[in-house]
Amino acid sequence: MDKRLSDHTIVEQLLSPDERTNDDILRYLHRRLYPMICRFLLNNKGSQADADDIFQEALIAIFKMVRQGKVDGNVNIEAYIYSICRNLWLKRLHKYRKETELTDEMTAIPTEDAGIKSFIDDDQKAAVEALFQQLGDDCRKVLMYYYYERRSMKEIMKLMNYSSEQVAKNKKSRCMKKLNELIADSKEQFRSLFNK
Amino acid sequence: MEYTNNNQQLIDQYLRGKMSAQERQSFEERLAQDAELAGQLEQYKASTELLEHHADEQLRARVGRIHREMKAEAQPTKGASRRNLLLALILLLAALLLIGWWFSRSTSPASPEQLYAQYHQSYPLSFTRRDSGDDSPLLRANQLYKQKAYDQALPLLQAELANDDNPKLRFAVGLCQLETEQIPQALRNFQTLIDSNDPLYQQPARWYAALASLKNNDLSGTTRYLQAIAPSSPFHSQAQELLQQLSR
Repeated sequence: MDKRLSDHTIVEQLLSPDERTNDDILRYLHRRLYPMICRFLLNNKGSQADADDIFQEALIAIFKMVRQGKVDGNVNIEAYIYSICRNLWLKRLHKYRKETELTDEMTAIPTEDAGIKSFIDDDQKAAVEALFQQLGDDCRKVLMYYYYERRSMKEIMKLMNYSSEQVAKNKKSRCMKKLNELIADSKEQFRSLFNK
Repeated sequence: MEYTNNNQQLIDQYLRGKMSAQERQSFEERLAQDAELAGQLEQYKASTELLEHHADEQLRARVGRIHREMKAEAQPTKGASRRNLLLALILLLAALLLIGWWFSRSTSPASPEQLYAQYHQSYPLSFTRRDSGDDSPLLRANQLYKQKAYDQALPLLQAELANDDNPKLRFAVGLCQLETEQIPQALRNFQTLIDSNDPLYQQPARWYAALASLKNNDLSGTTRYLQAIAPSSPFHSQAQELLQQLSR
């Protein structure tokens, strides 16, 4: 078993712009929590496949929450992930109309469902991939930081090594314009996506 | 549609909820009158939606890859510990055989009954919660089997087998039948497993079919089953030992 890291360290590593650092801390969380989540699911009418599914959803949720500034190092991250799993499983059980009494006594922490709806088909997926490749890595990163992770221009300036906030702002504007143009060019392909 | 940086900034502030009530109201009034601005807002929403979708997909793929890696990493360890356990069992069996051989070498060839007693060992069968629910007949049967209450475990296992014909259950039923001296029935179940080429239970079924035949005084049957045990099987070395003993 890994030595327990502090919650601040975990959050710091989840926030790192270096993907390898993020992946390492996700692996650490996997090693520490996955067996426990499996036991919890198997003791509460779940299967191994349910455990795999729920645990991955929880890792996605905690990653997003930390990156979007909704969870910080003052939270007990391991307990929080456990409670996300518990809540996701409860929701799913209700959906299955199964009746169960959970043997776990942890207090529920309200969390958002990390369920990402996969509502586009494979062709559209490939088109989206191609579109973001055309956009370029720097633009993709700047827009992700701003719109997905809701980071400030100051943070983006540091993450991207820009000389000033104004440079970051201009870059973001240019990238958004480029993305809009690319989407407008392939509008037909994405029509069904945006009509949903 | 030409964007001005100013419009973009306003749309940003509007969508991020960073406008005062007054600013918001005046922006919405402008939207109602300015079709171009309204179009820009829609396009902006579409772009950010696509961006979020793309980010979600990437994150999902990344977490999925890590999950698969971690599970694959955990697998060999599990396999290795099973192998170590198996090795320990084989060594234990070998030691027991050696002791048995030491005591029996000066005496006349052992009888089938003595050989059975010498070679028979209860198979460490285990049904877990993964095979069944928490309070299932299978877990009760497992408990009874561990306590060597084979006559009580047998009907529970037979009832389960009637519902779900799987090799593990059939093997368990065969073992209980062997332990309760229902030899023909045990042999039938072991033979079914041997014929099914089940990768997990075919070789153990051969070994226990050999023991069942031994118990039945059927030495040619015993020999036939022992000779068919594959060299890669953990039962192979003891099968060879037993064959040697039988040939004396």
